Amino acid sequence: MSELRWNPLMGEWVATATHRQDRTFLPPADFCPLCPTAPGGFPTEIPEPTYDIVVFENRFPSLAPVPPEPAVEGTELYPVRPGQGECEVVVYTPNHNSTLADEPVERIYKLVQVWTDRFRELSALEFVKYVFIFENKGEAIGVTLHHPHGQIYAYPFVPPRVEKELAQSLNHYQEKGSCLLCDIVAEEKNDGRRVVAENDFFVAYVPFFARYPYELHIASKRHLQDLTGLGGKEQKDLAEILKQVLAAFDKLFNVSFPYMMVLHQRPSDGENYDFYHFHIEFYPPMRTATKLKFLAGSESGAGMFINDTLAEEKAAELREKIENVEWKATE
Amino acid sequence: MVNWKSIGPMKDEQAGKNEQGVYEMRKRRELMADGRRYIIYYTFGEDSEGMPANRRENEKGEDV
Repeated sequence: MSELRWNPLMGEWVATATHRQDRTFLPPADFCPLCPTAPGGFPTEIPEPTYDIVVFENRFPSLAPVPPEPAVEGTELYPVRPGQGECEVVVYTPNHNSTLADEPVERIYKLVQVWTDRFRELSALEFVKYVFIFENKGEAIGVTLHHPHGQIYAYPFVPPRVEKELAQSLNHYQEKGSCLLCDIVAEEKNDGRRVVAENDFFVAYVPFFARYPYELHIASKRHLQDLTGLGGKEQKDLAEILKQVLAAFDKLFNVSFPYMMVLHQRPSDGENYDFYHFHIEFYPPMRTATKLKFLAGSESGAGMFINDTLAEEKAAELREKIENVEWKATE
Repeated sequence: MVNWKSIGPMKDEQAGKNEQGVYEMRKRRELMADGRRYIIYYTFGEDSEGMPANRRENEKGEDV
């Protein structure tokens, strides 16, 4: 069963998707559903013997284009609606043992193009109001499949965290006449202590207000609202800075660094979001080589994050690990 | 409640200053074995004719 239940205390929707309890959980490599199907072998989700980048509808979706009727009837206090939306899986590579950080920059560049195409296509669906591209990496985050992949949720509403960011951006624009994220990027660049990497079109930084020790944001220097506004050189620069920060993460503690990566783009509800600014956010849970940051009482119950570290120091650690990226003519 | 529509367009001074991408992207959509879900294979290659990928796909009428 799948449905959206309204939380009147917070003014936000909660998805229930009971079928996800039965989803595949950390299968052995021989039975990975995201590997190409080998001749005569276990039939995976992907019939082709090889592939470049593949996108498919999630077998265990939280939202579906034609959702089932809700299991319960709503009330005036507790509205309920079908969980209409789309949930896609984006498989980065046929190589089961790889990670996005391990992949060549050329493949990340291709992934940027796939993200752009998925945003464009899903945004055009009438019932979709927000396209959310993300990756959960590592068992510390709770991934159930190790094969390198990301996900896309196309929501029938603008999710609350993005809505708050939009409201802050709009207020800033109305008060100052400028884009909030453009001003943040300018301040980070001017200060410099929290900047981790930079190229012609993008800058990566541990934000002044980081909630996680190694939280990192990547923002476009140019004011644009979504991936579809990127030109070819900008797509390449985005791929390059992604490769740099992902590799730096892994070098920090010489482990495959777990993280949540989320793309914040404009909603696709037909309204004007010219004041908003596309960016990517990383939330890594590690605070040392052996310790995780947990979302405990203050973070979960009050929404107040406590960061045990200084953003300036963590940015310096990451900056030391940044290396140049080599491009091949073709992959 | 904020009025999103009240905001006018913001100036974008660098728009259109980028070169085109290197790889031509093609996609092929199929139904999965369960007959319900779709799967999209993305493949990439250099565009030897210098034509944007989306224009070529439209002209060929591929299953995109």
